[in-house]
Order: sequence, then structure tokens, then C-alpha cells
Amino acid sequence: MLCGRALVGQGVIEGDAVVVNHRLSFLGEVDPKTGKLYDGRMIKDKVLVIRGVRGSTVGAYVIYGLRYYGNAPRAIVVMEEVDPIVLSGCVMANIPLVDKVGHLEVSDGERVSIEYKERRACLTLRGPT
Amino acid sequence: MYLTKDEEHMLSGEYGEGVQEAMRIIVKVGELLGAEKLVNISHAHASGVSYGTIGEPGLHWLKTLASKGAKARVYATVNPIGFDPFKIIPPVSKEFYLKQMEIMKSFEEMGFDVTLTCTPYYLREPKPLERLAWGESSAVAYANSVLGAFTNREGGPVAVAAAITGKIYEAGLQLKENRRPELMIRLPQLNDYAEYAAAGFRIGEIAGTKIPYVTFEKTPSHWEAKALLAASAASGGVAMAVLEGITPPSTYLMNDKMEKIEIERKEIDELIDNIEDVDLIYHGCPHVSIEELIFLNKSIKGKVKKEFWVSVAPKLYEAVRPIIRELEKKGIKVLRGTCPVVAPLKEFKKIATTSAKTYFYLKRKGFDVTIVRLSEVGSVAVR
Repeated sequence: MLCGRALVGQGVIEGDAVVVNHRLSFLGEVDPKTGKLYDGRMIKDKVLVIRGVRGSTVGAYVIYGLRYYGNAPRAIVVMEEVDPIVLSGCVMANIPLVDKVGHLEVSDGERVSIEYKERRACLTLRGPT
Repeated sequence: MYLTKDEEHMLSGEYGEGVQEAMRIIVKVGELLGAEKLVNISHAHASGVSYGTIGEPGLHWLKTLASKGAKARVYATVNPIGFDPFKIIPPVSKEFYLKQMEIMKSFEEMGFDVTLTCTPYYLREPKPLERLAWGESSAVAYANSVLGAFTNREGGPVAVAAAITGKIYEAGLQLKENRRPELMIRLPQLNDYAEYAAAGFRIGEIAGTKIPYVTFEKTPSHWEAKALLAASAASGGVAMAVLEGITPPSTYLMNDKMEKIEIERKEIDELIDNIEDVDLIYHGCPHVSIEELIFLNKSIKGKVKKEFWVSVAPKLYEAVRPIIRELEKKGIKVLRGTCPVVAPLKEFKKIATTSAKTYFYLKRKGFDVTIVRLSEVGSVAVR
């Protein structure tokens, strides 16, 4: 079981994975109005799994915008370490956030379950739904 | 993280939901950065104030925070907006105008001083070792490097949260042990504001987010240092530079094992042009000081024949009305509370600016833009 730092969220969260295998910039690569990634994939109600984060200080407002427009993902899982901008956006939007889970072999549509235990959050992959 | 009783109360909601939300942000980000405690700040400065930058979500967040009774606990200022609110330049749609006014109203309700400037240090100058939580990369670099105050480069919402709690995490540049230069950059002889800006552009490219130690042939004025720092914060992510002869020695630690890099004269000259055929000349990024206004007024001898913008903090404009009137008589548009970096510019194709920061951002937005020397702006404008 893979565990990371529990930054935002609690309890148990489940959803289908949408995987981005590079460092994502929320400004420019995520459209909060449609809930879509730059490549057209929808992240609304999904578990967004990304390798890492990069980009502008306005990113926090883009993440908050996902909540504002009703397109928030169920959780964001970051393989590497997250930055203050994405973290502050997730706190503002109350989007569950886990980072430092290490390399994750997961593909789009796989069912991911996240269980929070104090300062850690552990992931279970349940295969495609 | 260790929290005082009062900080615990903020986090548990005893001061209301707005303060609680702000404290959650500060504590979470502080924990992420490994801070052991929070520190009191004397001044917060919020970036991300233009409707063009933060949009509907940003407006909604600020409005919600204000409606929950959040109030700034310390002196708090805000960045420029998408147009001059007195002259409505550049022109914006009615919707943009109204939304921008709502953003300003939310800040006002929260007790911010709606200064609309990227140079809050011209309104109240922080002292060495003073703790701040500032957004706006150019102001952050100026505070750390010229004034010797302590601030990290905070994201927009974090600076707002810091204003409301009066606190920031003790990490990064808030700790003296982290204020240590990592590489030494030697500059050639420079003679113009725009040359210092171009040098800053090169410094940012070399240093990235590291702290450079910069040596000069001739110590720059504070406003030339401002041009240099703003550019280095844009092309790289410089939050602090040690400027030889300027940065107060008590505010950083020295490093005697630095890699040495020299920037050559031609690397500066390559960035600067002297073109005549432009539809906008722009000076004032970051917003101008009184010295710059005096310099401009002296060097521009007659009526300008091209669109010429200068941008300034609204309060400074009020303080130096006579010289502004002289500049305006020469046909210069002195804009308050805005700048081309955050304004929705449309009608201009070729832009000449003294600012390497403006050059960096407008180029990325697809404009044809060149850097021009401040000492040559006058002669280009009147031809």
C-alpha cells in the first residue's frame, strides 16, 4: 500500500483516476469553467493523480475556481512534493490533497481509494471499474 | 507546529469563520514548508487584484471572506488593477469595470488600504529586519534586497490570509540562516535605468530562484536597483539578491565559497534597442518614484508625438501634483493604479518600454516589444 502526506481531507475517499504523468500547471492546463484538462479529459469528481506541480502564483485561484464552478475533483494525489500555491488552493477549495506518495503505477479509470490516518493518507488501487 | 493560545483560537474559529479560513491556509502552508512556529508581521501586501488575473473565482473568494467578517489585523496594501480607475485607461468592458470595483470593495471591507500599487514601499517604507508577507514578486525582491526587510514570495491568497491573521510561517527568507547568497554575479559599467533592468533580466536567467550576490562598477540608485530586481524576479524567480553597497549587512549571512559569473556588456546591449517606430512608449513598471518623475520631466523637452504612458501609485500622484501636471501638459498620460502587465491591452502592436519586466510579460502575451533606454525615451517621444 502506498502512503503519502495527508495535507487536506479526512476519512475515506473513493473515485476513478485521471492520471497526468508530468508536472501540471493549473494555470493554463486546467480550465475551471469546464473541469477539463488541456487534453480534454474531465477531472470533475475524479481522483486527479499527477506527477508534480509547477507554474504561476495565480494557480491557487484556478483550483478554487474548480470548486466555484462545480467541477472539483474528489481528490488530488501528487507523487512528488506539492508547492504552497497548489496547497493554498486546495485549502481554499476544500479539495482533499495527498502528496509525496512516490511513483504510482495507475491508469485512467482505475478505482482509487484513499484512507486518511492522522498525518498520513494511504492509497488502495481497486482496478478498473 | 507550535501555536500560541491566540493562534489556536484563530484556528478553532473563535474569531469567526473568516479568520479561521485565513489561519488554516497559513498553518497548512507553514507545515508544508517545515516551519516550527508563526511570526508576527507588520505589513501584508496582496498580489492578484486585477479581475483579468483572478477572475470570477478570485472575486468570489474575496467576497466570501469579507462577508464572514474577516478584517486585516495589520497594515495591508494591494497591487494594481486592470485599468486606471480615474481615467478608465485602457478602456474595459462594463462587466470588467463592475467586477473590478467589486474586488476593490471586498478589500476595502476587510480594512485593506486599496493602494493599487506594486510599490507599497513608496507609501510606507519597511525598516531592516521588519517581517512582512508580500505577494508581488518585484516588491518582495525590493523589500529583501534594498530595504533588508524579511519576506518570502507569497501567493495572492496567502498574503491576504497573512493580513487577516497578522501572522506568517517562520520559514524560507524569514530565517536569517536562509538569507545567504549562493553565487556571485559581476556586472559591467551600467549607465541607464533600462540597462540595470536588462542586467536584472540576465541575472534572473542565471540565478533562477537562487540568491545572487551582485557586484557593480558603480552603485545604482534605489530606483535603478528596483528595475534590476523586478526583471530578475520575472525572468527567474529571484526573491532576494544581495546588492553590494545597498543591502543592509545585518540582514544576510555571507558565503565565501561562491561560484563567480560575469555578465558582459554585450549581453546587456543585445536586449536594448533604439527604435522609433512604436505605437506606445511605457515607463513605470514597477510604479515610478518621485526621482523618476523628475528625471522624465527634465529629459522630455517638448510635446510628445506618440502615445506615452507612465504609471504611478495613486497616492504618489496626489503628493506630487505639480510635476504630474507638467508631464500631462507635454501629452504624457500618467496612469494611476494600473500597468500594462495586468491590464487588458489590445490596440497596440509595437511597444517600447524601459522595463525588462514588462518586456518579459508582454512578449509572452504575443506583443512586439523592445527595451529602450530611459535617457532616450524623451528624444524618441518628441520626434
